[in-house]
Amino acid sequence: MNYVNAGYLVTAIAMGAYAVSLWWRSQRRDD
Amino acid sequence: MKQLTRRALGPLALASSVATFVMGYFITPPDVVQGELARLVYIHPAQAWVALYLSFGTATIASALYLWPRTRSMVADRVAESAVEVSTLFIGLTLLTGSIWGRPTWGVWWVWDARLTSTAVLGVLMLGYLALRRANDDAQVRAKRSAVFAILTAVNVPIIHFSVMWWKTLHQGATVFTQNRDLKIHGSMAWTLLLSFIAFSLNFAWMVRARYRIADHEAAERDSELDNALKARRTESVS
Repeated sequence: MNYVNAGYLVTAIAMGAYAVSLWWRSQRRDD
Repeated sequence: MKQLTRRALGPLALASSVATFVMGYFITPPDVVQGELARLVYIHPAQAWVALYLSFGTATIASALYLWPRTRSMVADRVAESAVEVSTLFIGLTLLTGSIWGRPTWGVWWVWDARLTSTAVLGVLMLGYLALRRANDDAQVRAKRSAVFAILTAVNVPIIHFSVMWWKTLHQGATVFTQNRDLKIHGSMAWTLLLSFIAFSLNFAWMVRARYRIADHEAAERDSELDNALKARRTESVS
């Protein structure tokens, strides 16, 4: 199950970080 | 309606991702052969689908539209740029989750197998595309070179797709789109797999849209800077 946890965790962190970076960059542009 | 679809995209992507996680992690049963490890099937194939087919398909079509004189526009160039950036993220994730799955099933984190190697090559080519975009300041030249590069890179996609049929590989063959069309996954596992494809596709759509908006703002900023510089130059020459 550790491998499954690692797979889900890596996915959540990478997609979450990229989504936040997009949102943050778009907010800075809108200012 | 367009506005509603635009606003609903983010919440829909998030809700379907949470639903995929709950279904894949808690509700679906473990597999007869792979046990709990089979839960990785709800993330890894959908990531590959987005990276290879959805993102790269979008980038290739947008690049072709840019190169075709009748449909040439900077909109197509920005769509291609956005899709390739998102594709790079998903290729990275596909390789990572594939490696995490490979360790307990094959006994190794990485093997120079046809499917894995061709996917890694595409990842490197995508980084090359992003580097190429930063190598030229002229928007038209950059767009043209990037479009040609993207189309040449697209040759690798069918190689990756058919690699499990053309060569002997450790990577398993097709589960859904088999040659005889006999589905190798059933019940709640099949529905969750379908849900994961929908969730990752919605995430792709939201990300490309957000990235496109940033590219659009950047281009508008560059244009206004250029206008201001030209105005300043004209004022100088008059006075």
